[in-house]
Amino acid sequence: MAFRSKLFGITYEFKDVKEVLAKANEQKSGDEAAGIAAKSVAERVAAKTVLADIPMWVLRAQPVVPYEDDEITRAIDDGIDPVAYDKIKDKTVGEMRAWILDENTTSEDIKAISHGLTGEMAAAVAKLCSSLDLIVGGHKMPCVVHNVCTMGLPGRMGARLQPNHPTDDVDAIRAEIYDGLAFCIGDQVIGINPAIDQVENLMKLYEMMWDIKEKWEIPASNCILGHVTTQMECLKKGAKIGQVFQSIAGTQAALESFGVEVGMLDEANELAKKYCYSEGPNYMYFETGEGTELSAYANNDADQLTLEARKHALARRYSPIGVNSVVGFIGPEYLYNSDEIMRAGLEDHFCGKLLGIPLGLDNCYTNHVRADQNTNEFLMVLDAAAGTNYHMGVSMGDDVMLSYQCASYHDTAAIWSAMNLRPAPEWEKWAEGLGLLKNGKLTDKAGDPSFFLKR
Amino acid sequence: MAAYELYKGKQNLADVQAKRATAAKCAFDVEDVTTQEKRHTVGVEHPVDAAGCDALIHATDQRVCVGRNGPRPKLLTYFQMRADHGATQDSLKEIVPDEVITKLGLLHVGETAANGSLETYLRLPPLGRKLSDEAKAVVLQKCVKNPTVQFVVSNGLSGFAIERYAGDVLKSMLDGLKAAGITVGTPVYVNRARVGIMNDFGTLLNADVVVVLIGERPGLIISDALSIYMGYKPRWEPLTTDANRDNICMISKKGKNPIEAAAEAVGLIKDYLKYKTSGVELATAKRG
Repeated sequence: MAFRSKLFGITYEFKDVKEVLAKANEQKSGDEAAGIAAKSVAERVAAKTVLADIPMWVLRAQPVVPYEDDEITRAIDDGIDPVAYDKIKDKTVGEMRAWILDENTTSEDIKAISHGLTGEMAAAVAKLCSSLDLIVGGHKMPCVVHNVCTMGLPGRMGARLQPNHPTDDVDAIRAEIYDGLAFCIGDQVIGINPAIDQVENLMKLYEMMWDIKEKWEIPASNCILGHVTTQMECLKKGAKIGQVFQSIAGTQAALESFGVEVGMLDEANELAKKYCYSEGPNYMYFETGEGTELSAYANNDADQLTLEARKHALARRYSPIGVNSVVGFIGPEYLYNSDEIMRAGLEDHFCGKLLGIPLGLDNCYTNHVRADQNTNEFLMVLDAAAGTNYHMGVSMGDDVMLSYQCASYHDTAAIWSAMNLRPAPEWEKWAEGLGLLKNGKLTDKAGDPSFFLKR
Repeated sequence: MAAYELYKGKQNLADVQAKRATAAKCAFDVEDVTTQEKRHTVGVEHPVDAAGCDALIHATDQRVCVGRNGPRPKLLTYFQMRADHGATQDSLKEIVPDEVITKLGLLHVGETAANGSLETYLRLPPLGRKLSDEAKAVVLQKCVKNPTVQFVVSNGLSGFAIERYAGDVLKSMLDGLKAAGITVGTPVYVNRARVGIMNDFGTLLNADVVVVLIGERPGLIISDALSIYMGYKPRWEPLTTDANRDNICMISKKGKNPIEAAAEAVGLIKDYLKYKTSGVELATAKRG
């Protein structure tokens, strides 16, 4: 195979599909550190022009990790819907972009082919998209799912309430849940990142969350983001669990570094279907983030975005209720600054939605990255415009347990207000019933956590 | 410009000047928004349960019950967030002045392979684990070889951590080691190092124990935390990793006390020398 193009009369050559994909990627510090990024802007553009001409079937036949070497590649490829794949297999990446953006292509049309795509294909299209392409395209791909609330409906934007605490103190976490509920946050899930990943600890927290749900008759789903095996133990012990979580990776070796295998996720999904209190049919919750594989020395010379889209394709196997990119969490060695974080957030959303999964975003940053709260606020507007299923939230955006900043509950309410969006219908009805929300806006009673001390 | 006459205004000039003089007498003496008291202010207007709000605030370090202006935060909360984030940025950028390094009794050996660039240091962490060629030469020329304990101090991601706590930790550790009859090499300072620099020093100087005092990634609540990382015979060949290291973290006014941290670290060094290992292996060895 030959991959060659000219720019201003200069010839650029690439040795394989993987190199074209990597060099066509927008600038990311992680790809540069891995030594696979384009060496110049010209080379990046040259790679994009080559990528535009590559047909989908070539991307399927040449995944960034071979079928025989990687169970994620196998799980994704075996899960391809042959009817959907037939419709797109001869389209080039450039033709796919044009088709997605065309006004005559409907949301239903895109949905009908999404299960025929691999991660490599979705990432390839994203690499040819500008930021507004990613927004316009993403907006055309709503992904409606249901666990307790119906998430992802057009005109709606959900939020995860993230009540973390450095020692999992029950009273502290309860206070933080009240703080979020007071802003009508939590339709996606009330999800705790535990400090202590042990069954007894999780059981205690599940019980506390269940009490709040019962007392206030909340259409709430819960999740504790321990290791999936800990949650599976809790399910078997009869804990009241709404969603089952795991962080995932885009190569088998990186997934193994999390102590996770495809078979383990298969089992977790079956247990969730059997034991979760929520109605389903969507039960699994995944988190991802560009750079995971490189940080585990398991990137196999593939770029961050392609590997991220492979996570989305793996997640699809489980018809999840939510998948969010934790887009600025990993640090400047993978995404250096605001520009790289914002670009990655839009790409991750686009790829996930194109692959047919309910993408949300944890817009965030650490204090050693070249970004600040404005980055989060800008990106929230951008991905709300692109139709994100949900955002993450924590009190004032300051997570003292994970030591990073994400969105504040205020920010979600502000996006609802400024962009005419609302929470999930079941959740909106509940919040209106309590008098905390009216016509999608916070009422005078809202924002007061002591409201929830009444019962 | 002469085509138009300047607009003359309609107001009485004496009135304008009188108002200006009155305004000049105003004083704006604004309270510190970052005090614990201000942080514990209930921001919610007309809460259902004011005492309840107070209890919720005291239940957690997260910023709850802050109130709102419409769907946006109030200025008090906004200023606190900006100030706290500003402190992290200042701490991150801080280059420890030479006189502070000298006063700490440290030999400044220079730069890592990141060559003093914060951007390179952030983008390429492996470079912060290796000394520059110049710094290597200084180390080989001026440092005591084959030390039992080698101290390495670096700002890492927080210069304020070094300026505020390295002195206390260093002094207490040196006193403790001296009392235990354990000899120490030439304590050094390196700009913008990573924890893995201990392998470079272990290898270059053939040190038994390397102790790295380094500024941690700043957080909004604590932006000046110091960490002690240490390991027994850290080397590149055969490679010793995090598993070989011990860490005492969050040394700060709002975190762990520097003197207590130093005592713990000296205790660990005694264990290293007794069991001839560190990190995970040490924990296993001590369990017997």
